[in-house]
Amino acid sequence: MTTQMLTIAVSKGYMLEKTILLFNDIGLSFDVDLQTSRKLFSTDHINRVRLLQVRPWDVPVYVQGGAADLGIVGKDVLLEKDPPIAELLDLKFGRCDLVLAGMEQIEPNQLAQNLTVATKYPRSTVNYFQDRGLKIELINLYGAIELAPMTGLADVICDLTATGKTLKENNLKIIDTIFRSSARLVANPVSLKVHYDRICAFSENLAKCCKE
Amino acid sequence: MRNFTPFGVRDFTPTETNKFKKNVRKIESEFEKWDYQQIITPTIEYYKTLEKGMGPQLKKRVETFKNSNGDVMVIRPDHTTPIARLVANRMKEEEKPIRLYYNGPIVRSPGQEVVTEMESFQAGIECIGLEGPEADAEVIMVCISALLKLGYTSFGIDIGYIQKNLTKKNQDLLIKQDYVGLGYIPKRGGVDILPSNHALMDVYKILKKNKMDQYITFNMGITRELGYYTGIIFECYLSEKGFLIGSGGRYDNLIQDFGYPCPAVGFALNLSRLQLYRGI
Repeated sequence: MTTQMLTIAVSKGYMLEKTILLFNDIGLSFDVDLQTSRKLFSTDHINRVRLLQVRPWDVPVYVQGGAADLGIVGKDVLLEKDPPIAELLDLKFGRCDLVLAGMEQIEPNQLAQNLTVATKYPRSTVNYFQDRGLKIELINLYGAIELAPMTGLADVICDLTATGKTLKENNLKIIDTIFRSSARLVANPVSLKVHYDRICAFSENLAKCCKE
Repeated sequence: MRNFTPFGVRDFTPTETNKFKKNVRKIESEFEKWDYQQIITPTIEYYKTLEKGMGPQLKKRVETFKNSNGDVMVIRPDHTTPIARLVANRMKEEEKPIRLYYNGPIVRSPGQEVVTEMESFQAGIECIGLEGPEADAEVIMVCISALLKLGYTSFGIDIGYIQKNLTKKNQDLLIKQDYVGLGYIPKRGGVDILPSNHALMDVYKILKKNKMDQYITFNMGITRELGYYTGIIFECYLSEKGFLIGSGGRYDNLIQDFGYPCPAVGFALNLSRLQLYRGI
């Protein structure tokens, strides 16, 4: 009996390179270089593993829908979307923080009521302010969030930062860190049942290779 | 705007209805073979009444409205709680066990499904008035029989139990399936993963005697958000689909919440997810 193909949805963008390197470390090699090809899938025919290259925000959707058995995605996406999928392993790369930033360097306890907040992470943002008893107005942006305070679109922003460099160059100061994120291995709950031994072994192999 | 049905609900044409009915009939005939009797409970009830069977997540997902009297009403979000109410109200005197089955829609506001799901047709059974592994094994065997009768071969049932010694934090992590937070992937496998002398051993023995053990696996990661489960809990899935098609478990305190202490165990299959209107 041939082994079933295990399908893994991987985030394209900054995490893709690290993901492929990690997979190579555990002995997988794929027929298509997703970073240069326009193909959106790549296969290791010997180990029966197929990669799907999708947008970070779409990884949980593919995994939840059973189109992928596993996925590699940032904890930030999991915290924001709260998808009903299993989180198996912290891969320890792709580290970044969701921070609250503004033009002025203030303390979190100096945040006022009714601030206008621009973000790509509405759920995490609203939770943060609600926990502090603060009501906000929300502006949902898809990118270049850093422009919002300078242009007067918003008072403060909630955005992801790895080094803080972009924030600094746009005259923004970090007020608070909402959460820390890194890449995670996630699984479809039924796939985790059907391929339990294989997925556990896969996760253990990855764990050995992604020690800090 | 054209006159579409809302997201998450659908019509069934005569062709689809016929296929659906034929499949439902197969399930019902299997339930009847095991001596279960059909009942019907109302589509709408008082919110206050059904609230007794709702966990915090389900509370967020029920569709409610006010009737002309000003009472808050709820569209039935599951079958088990109404049946517990019915048994406590009108079936106390009947000889136990009472074996009941049902077939009808439930409504939940769209949750986190990939494809919106609002009205789902469910068929299931409740075995009321029996404690112990015999009743637990019986409902699992009825579930397996129904799936076999429908023609499925590649399905599985993962069995676990409410782990009372878990901290609230770990319980929440299990429900969220956050195994990074938990620190390990919960064990899954044969009877050997169960604590020694665990009650589920007897359930396994009965299933093995009846040659149904090949469909089951024990899984320490199984939890249910619904507040009423007290013992065994299980989930059914098709190997090639990424979602659960049914679930069940023991709920020994729910009927008591309606004023009549009585143990019970049951399960429901989600017929909408099985897409029985397409034929299998």
